[in-house]
Amino acid sequence: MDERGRTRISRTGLNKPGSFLRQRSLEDGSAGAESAGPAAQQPGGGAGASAAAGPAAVDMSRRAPSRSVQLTRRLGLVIFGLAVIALFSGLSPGAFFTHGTLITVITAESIPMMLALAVTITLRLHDLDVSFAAIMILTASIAGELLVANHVSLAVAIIVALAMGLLAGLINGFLVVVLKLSSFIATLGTMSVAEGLALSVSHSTILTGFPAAFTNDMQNGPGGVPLGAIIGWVLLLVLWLAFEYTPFGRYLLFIGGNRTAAELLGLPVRRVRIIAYAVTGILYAAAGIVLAGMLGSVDPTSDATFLLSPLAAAFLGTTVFQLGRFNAWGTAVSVYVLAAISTGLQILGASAWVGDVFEGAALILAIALSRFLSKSSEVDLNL
Amino acid sequence: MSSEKAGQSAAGRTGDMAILELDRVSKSFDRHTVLDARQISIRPGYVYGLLGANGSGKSTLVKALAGYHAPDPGSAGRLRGQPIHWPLRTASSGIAVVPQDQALAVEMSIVDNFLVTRRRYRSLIGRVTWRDERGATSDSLRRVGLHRSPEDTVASLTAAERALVEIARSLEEILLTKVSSPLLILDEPTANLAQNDVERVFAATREIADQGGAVIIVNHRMSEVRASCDYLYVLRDGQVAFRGPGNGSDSTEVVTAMFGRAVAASASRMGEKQADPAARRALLLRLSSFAEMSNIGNVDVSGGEVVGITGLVGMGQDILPYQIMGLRKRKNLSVATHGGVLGGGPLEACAAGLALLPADRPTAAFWPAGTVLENYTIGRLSTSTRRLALLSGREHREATMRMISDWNVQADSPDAAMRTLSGGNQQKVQIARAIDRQKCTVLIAHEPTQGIDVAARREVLSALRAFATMERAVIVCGADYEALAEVCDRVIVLKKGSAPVTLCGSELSEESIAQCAMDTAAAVQ
Repeated sequence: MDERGRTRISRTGLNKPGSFLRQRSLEDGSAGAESAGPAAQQPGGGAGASAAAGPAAVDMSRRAPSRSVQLTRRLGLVIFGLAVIALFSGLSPGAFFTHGTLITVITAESIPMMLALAVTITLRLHDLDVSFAAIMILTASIAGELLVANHVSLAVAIIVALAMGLLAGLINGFLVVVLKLSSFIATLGTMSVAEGLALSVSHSTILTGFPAAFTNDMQNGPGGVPLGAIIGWVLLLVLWLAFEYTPFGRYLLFIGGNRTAAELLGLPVRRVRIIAYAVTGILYAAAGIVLAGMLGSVDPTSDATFLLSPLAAAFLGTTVFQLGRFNAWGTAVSVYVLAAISTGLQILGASAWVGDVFEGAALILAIALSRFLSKSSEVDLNL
Repeated sequence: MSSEKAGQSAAGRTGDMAILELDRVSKSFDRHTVLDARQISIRPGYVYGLLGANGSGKSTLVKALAGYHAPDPGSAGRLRGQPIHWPLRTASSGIAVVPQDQALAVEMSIVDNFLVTRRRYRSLIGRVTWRDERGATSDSLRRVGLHRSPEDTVASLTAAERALVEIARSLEEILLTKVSSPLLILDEPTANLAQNDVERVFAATREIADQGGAVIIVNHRMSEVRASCDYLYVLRDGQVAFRGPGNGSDSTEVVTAMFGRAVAASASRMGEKQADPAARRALLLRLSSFAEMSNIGNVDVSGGEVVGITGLVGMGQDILPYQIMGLRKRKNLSVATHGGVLGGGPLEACAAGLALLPADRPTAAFWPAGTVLENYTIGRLSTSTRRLALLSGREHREATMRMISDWNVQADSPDAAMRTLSGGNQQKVQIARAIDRQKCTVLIAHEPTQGIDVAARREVLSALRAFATMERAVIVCGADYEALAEVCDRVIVLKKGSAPVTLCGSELSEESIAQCAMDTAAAVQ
């Protein structure tokens, strides 16, 4: 009903300019106009609309905010991130806004970046996979055990680890798609299984002694940027192209948005979902390999530290660029915005406990924001 | 300014004070006025019809009366003689809106569903006193003419009975506030009901009016409203475009008021119907069932045909479309196409050339948050581009723009969210999308006219008729007898416990379908 659309627009229109809440309302009228998707190349912006539309539609476009206002809403999180950087630069001059801090953040965020991007794939299906950190640690432990204790070649260790990731992803896919279990509960189970297996593989010890060639390669790269971070950026580009320019990416969103409709339209729903889980499994394993190389050691109990921030980033990503949608660039920007805040707090001398509190609060806030900025329940997951 | 009729006889029933008198009620969103209605008067003892096309402002008016919207300054009126202070406070206004979507917990009993809104009969320690609760529930059910035990589960009720339960519950809610003359607003109460169930709901509204209340029925189906309402208000562009007594009003006049122009609303048959169905045409689909209940027998669908399948509510015509597609278990139904008997899910059915237009568009047809472009072109992705090739943004955009203008879809742009479109426009996009799939040969439409206005209904029906060419056919399942008679070559009426009856040619009319469906019920009772 277009009347409902009207109410919504007017209600969001009451929000203060520049606030996060502003971003929301553009999603209705012109989703994708400024974003990178195929929906982006709208000739002449909203102008083309009035020609083809009837009286009601013209009324709505008249009330639609100007392009610059829309852009501001869409980029609200980016602006907020820049403001955060400016704030911390002012609060701790000479410590925050430095090349050293930049490299530290980029290095530290390589793993969260890869995990957040991977989990964005299943979130586009509106499935919640919480097993990513545990599967990553498991595959890292397997790779480490093979390299350190069994002295297999690096290539073999990587291939075995990726294969284990694929297997874990297929198991998740089987549970969720074939057995039709709730994605959250099923992956909560596989998470615990993976945690236990990681302890078993590593004999409950921290695995160290990775080959120096491997760790050096991973920690260094062109321009002092570690290879691990570059792998994350490459993944960002690949997923962005896959999400926005391939049928697969569109299918993910459509299935997430209405699985019954997707089935009735004859879309390959099961195949797409299982492939999505398989791909995420491989990506978790890739993150595990990067983790082993970047840290030079694998702590089989460390998965909990990687659990919250990727989820928070993926949810926060729905408030930027493509509002109400899990998107690759949104996730990536959110990873760095969250990292900027926590790094800034650390430099200001916050105690260790603040980190945990911040992570939890960030996740809650991200989910709440994505929920409230969505016009309806479109970011609600199939739990 | 209200009707002479209301003025004359209201005194005879419950005193002549109107429940609600609106001198003016207006509402604007961002300087755009969507509602500016004047002189609306609601008196006890009467059933009112509120008509209007999509976007006419009738939902806004209902929301204002429900206390959801605060009208603009300048709006004024009296509620039971007292000046209204906006926004209306629902708890004390004595006005209740029964929403379109049924808000009942299906697995629970009727009394449990009443308890959700009622908190009365508690012992000192707060224990529910079930006997009192059941008694009060029975009283409320009787008030709307529903004689069921409060212990029955909602699942065991028919669609009409569920609607009555909701009406009874809302009515009781008002009566608990000790208001003498309740005002009940029913938002599209009959959207999902078959003809004779509709009459039951209207009988209940009459009952409420006779007991000194007033009812406003918001409705799309004009013939129903005219027959059962004392007085009509028609809104167009937010203003009252027509007012007059229900039976005395000329239907052309009402339709013209709704749309600002005359719409060919006659029940005449459409297009070129075949004289000799199934004779030389290719057989496209064969349905056969072995079930005892609602046995559809053997149905052969040939090219060029529009076949209707109907019956009373619960005869299976509402499940059949989803069984044919394989979304629900086929049980005793066998569906055969050129490729053989279908055994799998919708993926296989779509590959075999079937396509479905579900009745419940937001939950089964569209990705509501997605754009028109994304929803329209989703079926093209696997055919128009190779699987790993990049999507062609321009091709899809041009195709969507073309579809929007060809089908006269009212949408801001291809990037408007699907859920911002009205029901009629969503239905047009849905049909255009099915036609866009080259290999679609049999289109199954479930309640294709549900929730869309008269003008869009016309376009939707002619599109279905036009789809059925030599090598393509349409199956229409549903309870809109008028539409079935209009568009179908033959209509199969499902019967309980006996073979279905097929109506075609000159014996096919809205009345004959209704008669035939009702005979079924009579035979069973």
